[in-house]
Amino acid sequence: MCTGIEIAALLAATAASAGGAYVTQQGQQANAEREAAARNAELKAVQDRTRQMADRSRELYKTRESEVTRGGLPQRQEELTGDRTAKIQSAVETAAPEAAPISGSAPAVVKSEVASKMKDALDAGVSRAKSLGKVGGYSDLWADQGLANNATARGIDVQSNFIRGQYGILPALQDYAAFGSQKAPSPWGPILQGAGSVLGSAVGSGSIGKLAGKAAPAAGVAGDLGMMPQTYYLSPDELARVVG
Amino acid sequence: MCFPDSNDGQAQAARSKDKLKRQEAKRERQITKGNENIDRAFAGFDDAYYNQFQNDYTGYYFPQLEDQYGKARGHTTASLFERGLGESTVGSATLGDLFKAYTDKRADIANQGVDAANQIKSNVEKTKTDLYTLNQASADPKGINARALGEASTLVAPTAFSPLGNVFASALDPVVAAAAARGRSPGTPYSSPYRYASGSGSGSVVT
Repeated sequence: MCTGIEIAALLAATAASAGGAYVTQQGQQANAEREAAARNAELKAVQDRTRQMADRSRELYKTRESEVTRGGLPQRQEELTGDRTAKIQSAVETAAPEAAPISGSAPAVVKSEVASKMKDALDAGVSRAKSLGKVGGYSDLWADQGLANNATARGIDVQSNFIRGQYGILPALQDYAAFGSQKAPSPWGPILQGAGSVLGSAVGSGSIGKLAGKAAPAAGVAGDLGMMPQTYYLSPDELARVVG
Repeated sequence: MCFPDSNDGQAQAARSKDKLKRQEAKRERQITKGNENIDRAFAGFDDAYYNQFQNDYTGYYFPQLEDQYGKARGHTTASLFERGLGESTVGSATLGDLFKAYTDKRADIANQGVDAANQIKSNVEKTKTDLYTLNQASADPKGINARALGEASTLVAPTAFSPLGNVFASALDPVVAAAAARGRSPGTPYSSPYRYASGSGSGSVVT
């Protein structure tokens, strides 16, 4: 049967254990929250850095996009066709038309006829130059656009590489940050839990009752206290009385 | 303090974290620097370079064409005058056709020059892209600079052009055919297809 002091001790033990568990749990929770906050902070920092890189990529893309929209392509094709045509036409027009191998004594009508044929040939050449320029303008345009796309892709790829690099080191950064955010747990949690456990054991074993002065069989107390029972040696007179 | 803390470990973690960030930032700077080196090495490949390449291309082929045209014109003129057509409508038309073949070829060469320049542009861009990729993997600006300069020098080296073929063969066909037909016409003295060495020599008949 429990005495009042034993009940009080039992309650105190329970309170100490619960309090200790609470303090320990609070410490763990705070650490977990700090770790989560530290990991999130690293993630946000990486996101901020990579956002700038993504912005640069987007800028490159938008610039390129603006070149091919709103009539950019037809205008560019016109320029390239004009360039090619001019080069071919120049080659034709600088051909040597002095080629008319007519002697000085040739009749004027012959000279005129030859000159006319040469002019026809030259005109045909110029016309052909324009046709070649027009046809070639298409391949020039796509070659030109391909090169421009390639240059843009190179720039974007560099930024992508940087972004991959940032996210590549993120797990390690988060681990370091998590480790750095940890604080040593409060010692009061384990202390209180330990005290509660000891007190509970003491109540269960009846030690508290003995300490409070309650009478207890010596053997029982000794047993409770973990001591060997005392051995009584009877004197010859006592032995004779017992045996009768 | 009664309880050990992890200040040392935390300080080390903070140092490791900073070091990692610095390493990544350094890698990015090196890649940027390497890309700048590549751009610098290839800066010479601009519009002026490609225009010069086209001029060199036509400069290689035009003289060959001029030479062939001069010879073809000579053959044609001689053939026409030989046939008494030197100052005739037929002669004028023949010379006009020859001249047209000549201007057409000049146009073709100029056109091919633009294509060849485009091809060079494409090679340059491909090489640049390859170097950018390599640079991103190595993040070694000095190494990539040397490589970029080497690649750019290789591209600058003149391309081997194949010589111009016989451009006026078809234009000269009528002239050649006319000469052959005249050779086979009735009344023409026999002309042996075999040629003998000219000049003095000695010979004896062995009986």
